[in-house]
Amino acid sequence: MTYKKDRRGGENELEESIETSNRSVSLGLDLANIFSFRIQYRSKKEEHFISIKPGESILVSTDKGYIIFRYDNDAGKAIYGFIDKNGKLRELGEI
Amino acid sequence: MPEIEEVKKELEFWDPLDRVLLLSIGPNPASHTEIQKRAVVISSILGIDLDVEPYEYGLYSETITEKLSDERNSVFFVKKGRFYELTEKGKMAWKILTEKLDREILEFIDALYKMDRNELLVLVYHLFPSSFTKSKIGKKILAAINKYKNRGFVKVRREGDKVILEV
Repeated sequence: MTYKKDRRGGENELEESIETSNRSVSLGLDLANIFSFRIQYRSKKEEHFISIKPGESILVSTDKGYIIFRYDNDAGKAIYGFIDKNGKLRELGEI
Repeated sequence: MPEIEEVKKELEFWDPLDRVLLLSIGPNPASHTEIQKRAVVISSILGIDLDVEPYEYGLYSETITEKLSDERNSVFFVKKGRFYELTEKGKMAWKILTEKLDREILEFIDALYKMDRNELLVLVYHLFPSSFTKSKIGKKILAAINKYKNRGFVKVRREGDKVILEV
């Protein structure tokens, strides 16, 4: 898995992690700031955090494809779509 | 001045949406709808504001349409039948632009080029629900969106305040 840094100049934090999973992408609501979701992404040795503000999107690249997360203002939820490397739409969901 | 240098010089005067447009057309012929929907996704990922409004087939950018029909842009792309194609200079400009992108972004855009038109529509409607506002095809798209939910490619579980997605 690889990780895409925030290209919108948003807040990024990088921390060492004891997690070794390279398969999971975790998304959590940042309770300190109700106006943003906080994405936590684990790669093999590192854990990354990125905030998505309303209306913003981020792309997370995995070894199987790409997940696009978008924080929809109106619905107040994170929406995601997963497409594989061949451009096949595989899954849609929301949190 | 060599042609590549001319193109680089030209690119310096481009605004971010010109770049989004060129990336949205891509190296192979693309229809107006494909370009519009790709532009919505690409601008969103790159954090570039695109003026979109809901229309009969989802989100639509008047700016993209204006740029597509602007004669001055014919150096970089031309319309052939229903499709827009990059000219040789356009392909040079596309190559220069893509060389500046992160590898993962470029690979993602490449995957967008391969997407089936209907799946692209479904993805954009889902990620940008305002697409439904004036849509003539909203019911059909909504039914398609539901078919892509809970398919097992992304496993979701809750852990306290967190939601864990496994791919």
